[in-house]
Amino acid sequence: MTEEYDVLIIGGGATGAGTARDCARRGLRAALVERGDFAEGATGRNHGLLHSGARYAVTDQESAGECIRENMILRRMASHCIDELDGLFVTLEEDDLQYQQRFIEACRSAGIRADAMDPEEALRLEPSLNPGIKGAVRVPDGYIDPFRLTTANVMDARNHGAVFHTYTEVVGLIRESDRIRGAVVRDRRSGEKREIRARVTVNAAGIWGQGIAALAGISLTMFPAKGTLLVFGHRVNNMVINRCRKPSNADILVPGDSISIIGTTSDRVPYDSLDKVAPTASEVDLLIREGSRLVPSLAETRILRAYCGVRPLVADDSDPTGRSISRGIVCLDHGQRDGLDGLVTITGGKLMTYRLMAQKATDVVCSKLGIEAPCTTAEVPLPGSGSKEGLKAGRMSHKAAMARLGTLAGRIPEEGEMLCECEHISEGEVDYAIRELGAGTLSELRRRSRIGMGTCQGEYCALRAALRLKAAGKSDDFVKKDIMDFLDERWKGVRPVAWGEALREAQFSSWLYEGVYGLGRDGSEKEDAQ
Amino acid sequence: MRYDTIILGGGLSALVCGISLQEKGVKCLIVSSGQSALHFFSGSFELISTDGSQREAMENLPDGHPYRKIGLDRVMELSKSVPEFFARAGYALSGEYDRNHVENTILGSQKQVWLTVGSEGFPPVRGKLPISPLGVKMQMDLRKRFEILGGDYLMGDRAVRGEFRDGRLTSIFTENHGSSPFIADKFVMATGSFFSRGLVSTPSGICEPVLHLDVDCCSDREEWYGKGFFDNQPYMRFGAVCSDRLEAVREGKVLPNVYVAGSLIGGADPIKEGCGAGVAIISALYVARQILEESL
Ligand SMILES: Cc1cc2nc3c(=O)[nH]c(=O)nc-3n(C[C@H](O)[C@H](O)[C@H](O)COP(=O)(O)OP(=O)(O)OC[C@H]3O[C@@H](n4cnc5c(N)ncnc54)[C@H](O)[C@@H]3O)c2cc1C
Ligand SMILES: Cc1cc2nc3c(=O)[nH]c(=O)nc-3n(C[C@H](O)[C@H](O)[C@H](O)COP(=O)(O)OP(=O)(O)OC[C@H]3O[C@@H](n4cnc5c(N)ncnc54)[C@H](O)[C@@H]3O)c2cc1C
Repeated sequence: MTEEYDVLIIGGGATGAGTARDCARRGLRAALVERGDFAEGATGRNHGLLHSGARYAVTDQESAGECIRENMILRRMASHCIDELDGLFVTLEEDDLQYQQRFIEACRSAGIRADAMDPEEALRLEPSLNPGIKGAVRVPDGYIDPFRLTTANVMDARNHGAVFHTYTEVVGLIRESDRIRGAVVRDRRSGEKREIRARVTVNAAGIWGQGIAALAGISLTMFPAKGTLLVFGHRVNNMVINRCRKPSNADILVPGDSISIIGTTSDRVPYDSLDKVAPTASEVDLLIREGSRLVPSLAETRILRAYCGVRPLVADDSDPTGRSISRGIVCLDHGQRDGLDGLVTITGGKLMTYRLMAQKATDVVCSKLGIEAPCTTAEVPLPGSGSKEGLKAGRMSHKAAMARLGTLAGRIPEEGEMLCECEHISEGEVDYAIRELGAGTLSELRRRSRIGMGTCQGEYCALRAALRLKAAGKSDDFVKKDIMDFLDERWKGVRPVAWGEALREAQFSSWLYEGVYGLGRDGSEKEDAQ
Repeated sequence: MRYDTIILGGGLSALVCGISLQEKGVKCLIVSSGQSALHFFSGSFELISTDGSQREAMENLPDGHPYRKIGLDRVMELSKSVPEFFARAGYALSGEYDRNHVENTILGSQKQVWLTVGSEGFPPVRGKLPISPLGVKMQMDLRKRFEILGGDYLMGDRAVRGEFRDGRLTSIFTENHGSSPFIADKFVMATGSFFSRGLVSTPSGICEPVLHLDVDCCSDREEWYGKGFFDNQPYMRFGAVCSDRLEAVREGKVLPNVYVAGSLIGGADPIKEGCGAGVAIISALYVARQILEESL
């Protein structure tokens, strides 16, 4: 049986989800395939900085302008995914204060508000800062939650008829003479292969886009750049803190929900190692060392976990040597570029330019299909980001839910047990994620509800959440295996930072789950449930 | 203040050791900084995980395991006295001292356990922290018994350092008592593993923070961990170095009047081997027996 659509989108990151939404809103019959879960790629492994553009102002005015325009749009259209924190660019003792002037001018010429302030005022606004700073500039940086953003785009696309298949991997493209007519996909759970046909196919597979292009026999050179970040055990700072110098390692500290994240590093990695990258001890050491220059207390703050992602950088087509990297968004119509019609690649860019990327890709798709519907995503808020008028929150968990889900919090019951104390997540919110956001495993719940993301890293609530999955009909064996997978996944992030309190907690978790609950002890679960 | 024996730590091991000594009239002080592993007690003690003979399973333990130091025959002999010991404290344990029985966990997994205190298990699904009411009650009851027998219990105080003379520990100091020393002939370190802060780790190493006892561990951090969460975790075996008589070692030399008991002892993986409470109880009984023999 083959399915047939106007457009097939490959990749369920922010870019793919945003493209599905835009296409669906313009009346196209859209389908999206994602080989894992939504936001499992770079979208779920970045810094979550809603750039003001200031970081790029000195080196790349075009990107800076793109950032500030999208920044302003997303504040309105994706308000429940955004924390309007503002950011400071600080000059440390060893940095050149002259750079600050150049920086401010560059920001202003890109249309970014940039206000210089003296060190005392900056320290008053952000007491965690290194008291030795020489100056600071305030810019409209913010935090953007990539998981909520992706979920909201998927939800709106669904409401407009789009179809989503997760755990569905593209293993081939259907080629008919010089056209791509869809893709051959493999269901990763059943192993079954099938065809999904479409008039246009969009490659939104991020860094894996090189592989998708290769399936079409065309060449697209990506430069995988790995970046590692550390999550600290509480919210150390209240504003985004950047270093006022040319972009470098470990110079941004972003607060998000109950934690703060320092990043990042940047290292080229071979394309064939993409699925194996892991944070290293030396990256961790560097992040702590450099990060505590910005905020001294980081040296003593407990680290919850380390994680890394790979930036989808693309070779610049205009450089024949293929060695320079394209700046900004890359939208390729392979009909024009390679004489292979029916295929569009959308990559490069940033998380926070996802909407614009989606718009560009959808414009190309529409022009190929002869459709004139205008893009509405800059005017119509995402589900959850509408007006909060009339919404009331009584209990703590419901306030927290409102911050996470925006207007959708009305869909979860006010009463009910608290499931995660450190993030104030109620049983009702977890049940909502299971019922309405399609979360069927603990890892999916983590991405849909923040279970396991905060200070406790799911130590206690993973079990409680697993029992909700059981209540929703999952078998005992499934739940046991799922808890084990979740703990294994979490351990990957804890291992590089497992000393002090983190090692203590790790020992406790082992006692709890392996010692007391007996998981993994009879050695059977791993093989049992598939 | 002066005691025959001072025990550092307030968990299962410290209490079993203290009670055994007080039962024979040895004047003890227990210094406990607070919560112990008992607060997360499942309801059953484990000696060693096996569905066959415990003694045979112990033969397969690696060299350096606390049971091997104590001697397997002696471990079995001491284990025989455990049900009696707890009966005197008002706890009728079910199960046989030399045979495991099977227990179901709330996740439906099965565990081989030794002696069961209660079947309520571990009920952590609701509430702020998953605390085992049974374990908390047991800790309080054991403490009460220790005090009724004449022992002193210093609650919520942390031992911070010791003073040594001629290769012996002469006194210890605590957080709350500043410069007043607690003096004794013998000392028992039962401060637990990482979880209870009997061991402390930094990015560059692992130490025992009170007396700076020698610790058995690998120096390279990358070697502390297993790859998967359920793989062998080498750090689980880290702990204080000790002689076959469980005397502590410091700067390479045996401290003849300091013993180590419970999960602070290195060489065991209590989870993979299923020997957590077993090592805590048996080592405490063994240490108490030696202290009694020496004070005769
Ligand atoms: C360390 C780091 C820090 C960053 N910080 C920021 C920041 O602070 N702010 C910001 O705006 N941006 C940031 N970025 C950039 C941002 O994360 C990415 O640009 C953005 O997430 C890319 O989204 P995407 O949807 O294009 O790609 P991805 O999120 O990678 O999505 C691609 C998806 O395609 C799927 N896929 C791959 N192959 C197949 C296949 N064969 N079949 C089906 N599906 C497939 C993958 O599983 C993946 O989910 C950062 C990136 C990194 C690495
Ligand atoms: C969460 C958890 C659950 C467990 N569940 C079981 C189980 O169900 N069954 C089983 O057989 N085994 C279990 N174990 C294994 C456990 O290690 C042993 O059973 C045993 O309880 C260990 O006792 P202990 O006295 O050696 O150490 P702990 O119980 O860890 O006690 C150490 C004590 O020393 C104190 N302390 C530390 N430093 C100082 C200091 N400087 N000064 C004063 N006091 C100090 C601590 O506050 C603590 O009270 C569990 C372990 C953990 C961590």
